Amino acid sequence: MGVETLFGRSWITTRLDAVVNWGSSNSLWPYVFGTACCAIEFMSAASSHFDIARYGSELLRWSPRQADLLVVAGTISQKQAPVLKRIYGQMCEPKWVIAVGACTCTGGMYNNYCTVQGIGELVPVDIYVPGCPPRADAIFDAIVKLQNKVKKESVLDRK
Amino acid sequence: MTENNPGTPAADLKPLFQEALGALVQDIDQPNGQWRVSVDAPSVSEAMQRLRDDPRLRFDMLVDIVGIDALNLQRPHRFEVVHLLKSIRHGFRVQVRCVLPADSPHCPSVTRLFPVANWLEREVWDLFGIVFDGHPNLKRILNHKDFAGHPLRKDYPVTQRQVLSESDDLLDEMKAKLALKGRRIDGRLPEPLELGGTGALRAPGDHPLFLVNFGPSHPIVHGILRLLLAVEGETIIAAIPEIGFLHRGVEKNLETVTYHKGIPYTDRLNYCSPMMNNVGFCKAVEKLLGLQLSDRDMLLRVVLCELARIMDHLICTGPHLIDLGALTPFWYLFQVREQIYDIMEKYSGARLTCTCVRIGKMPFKIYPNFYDEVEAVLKSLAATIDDIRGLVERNRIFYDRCHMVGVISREDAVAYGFTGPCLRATGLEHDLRKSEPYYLYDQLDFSVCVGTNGDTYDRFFVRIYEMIESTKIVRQAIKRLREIPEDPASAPEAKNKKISPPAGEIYDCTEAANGELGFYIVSDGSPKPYRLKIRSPSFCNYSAIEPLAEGSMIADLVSTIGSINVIGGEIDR
Repeated sequence: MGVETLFGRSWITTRLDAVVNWGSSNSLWPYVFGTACCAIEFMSAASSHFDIARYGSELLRWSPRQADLLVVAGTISQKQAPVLKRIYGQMCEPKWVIAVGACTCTGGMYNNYCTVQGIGELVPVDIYVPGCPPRADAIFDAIVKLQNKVKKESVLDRK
Repeated sequence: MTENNPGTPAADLKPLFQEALGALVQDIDQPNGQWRVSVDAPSVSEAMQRLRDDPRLRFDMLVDIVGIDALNLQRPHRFEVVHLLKSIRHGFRVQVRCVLPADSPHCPSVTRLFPVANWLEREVWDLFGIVFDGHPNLKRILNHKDFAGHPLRKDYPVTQRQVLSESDDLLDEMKAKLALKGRRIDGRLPEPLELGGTGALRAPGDHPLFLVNFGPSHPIVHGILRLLLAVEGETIIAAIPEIGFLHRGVEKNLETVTYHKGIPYTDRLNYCSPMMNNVGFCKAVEKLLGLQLSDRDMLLRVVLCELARIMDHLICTGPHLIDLGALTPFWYLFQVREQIYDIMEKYSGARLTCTCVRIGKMPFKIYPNFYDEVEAVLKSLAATIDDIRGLVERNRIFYDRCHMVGVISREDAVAYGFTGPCLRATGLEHDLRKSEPYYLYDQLDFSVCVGTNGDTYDRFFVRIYEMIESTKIVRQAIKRLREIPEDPASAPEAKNKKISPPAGEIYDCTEAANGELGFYIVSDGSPKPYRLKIRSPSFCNYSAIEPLAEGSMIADLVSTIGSINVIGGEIDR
């Protein structure tokens, strides 16, 4: 049995924000919109060596409707832009976005006719992760940063 | 099979070409040692048919179609189309070239001869605006439907972006295809079918066909691919693939950078095995320059290539098993990949996109424990493969999901330009490391792994056995490397010399993890490539997805796609 049994049948008082944010920040369920090289590094982050489960985000969802964290990993081309926007729209509130890798942040090496120069043009981004591709550690750093950000939010701000 | 380096043919083919083509041929030459036949544009199709059917030539595989915009080359014509042909039986290669005017570039389609030409010609149309007469479905393939202009033309600005507001519904292709199959649509369509939308197409007397969007973002499509499926129950009646979601204009970007600066772009083609792309690209440029590598550099490249092949096969087999519902093997397989990452990181400073090869040399010294650490990886790989085989080889579920699923015959595989493990799974013993040996592969002892049925099961196990063969190659190469001392004279230079290859064209290829990875370089003598066409194995392998999908069930399609190993960066470039 866990520590919760020590409280017995008593009451606990806390702020609504504290308990909601405690829950959502420690169980961010990612939907990985993986398109290119960064998705391969994300696989590293998710697999046994690095183990994303240490940050409570191991429950990779394959449907945007079940996820609250959109991880965009890989180059977004103009052809993909409507797909990404639609997927973001399919996610339920509250939702957050991590842009993984140079291409997603700025277009990276591909300053040309077909590549979106940063997904900030398409969806609101919470955390940018530089790197080409970023290491698994950098992705974890982004998750921790996002957790800290989520903890400062208030349910009352969501309209 | 004849041993034959691309570009150094064993036989004098000129009389054979003259006999086969007769009056069609305009010119036969051998620039950079590679046979090239020039023909009049209207007779391209006829010439290709003769080259394919002549029993002494048998050019049965269309490797690639290269479009060239000669605007800045001071040539009398604007466009060139080069068809690269290969004879699997005889080991010959030839380029069939025709020139086209600026105002109305038209070239006959060869789709009826080689089904792979369907996609290859669509690509040339998309990027250059060259019309292929007689093509069944000349539609954009890499760029989106609202794109105006042709981006690889020299007068198209590199950064002129065009926005797409809504994805293609693909219904035009689907309707045409269902009409061909005799399935009627009664004209009443359901609500607008967007991405993710589904709806039924009913025809009186028919069973209702249900439209399903498979992708573009679907857990099994490993990147971004899309198929629009018309299904009857769970059986796929018609499939319309859409690719190009990861088209990031690599070929256009490569024209704007020097050869050395182009190497990092090749890392990101097949991002599962970056070292192999580096080697393929550098080898092509070295061939154009006429550079010869030292034995030590060649062996080091062999070691890196084979480690990359292992990495690639690990990431194909692991996620393939996940698609079939087996998650455990992936954790084991990925552990080996992490070990290889560690080696690459110590060697080059980067885990994945390592850019660890330079033109004419190897840039980094190997670190002290390199050989021992590689040996440790090989040992743990062998143990892991034993584990995986124990888990899946006699596993009823795996067998039923894979055996005789996604079958392609040997003839069809050649016609669709299959190379690599997917071709070998059909039983054809074709491996560029054996048939056109490069570096020191001819001095190393290894076997070519082949399947029998050309199904998903064979494709899976060809990859598993190839990993075992790769460990043999690495061990032999390391044994020889240990005997060759590091030459201080070839130590890494502080700066890379500027490289300006002589004007000319060259095609060079290596056996990458998915098959023949080729680079067709057009140089105008400047330090930047004038045109660089990448022949990506995945593109041709995936072009057969329509016949593979149709008639199978949706669950089988999942298994088939997983075994073909579709890499977005390589398909869409």
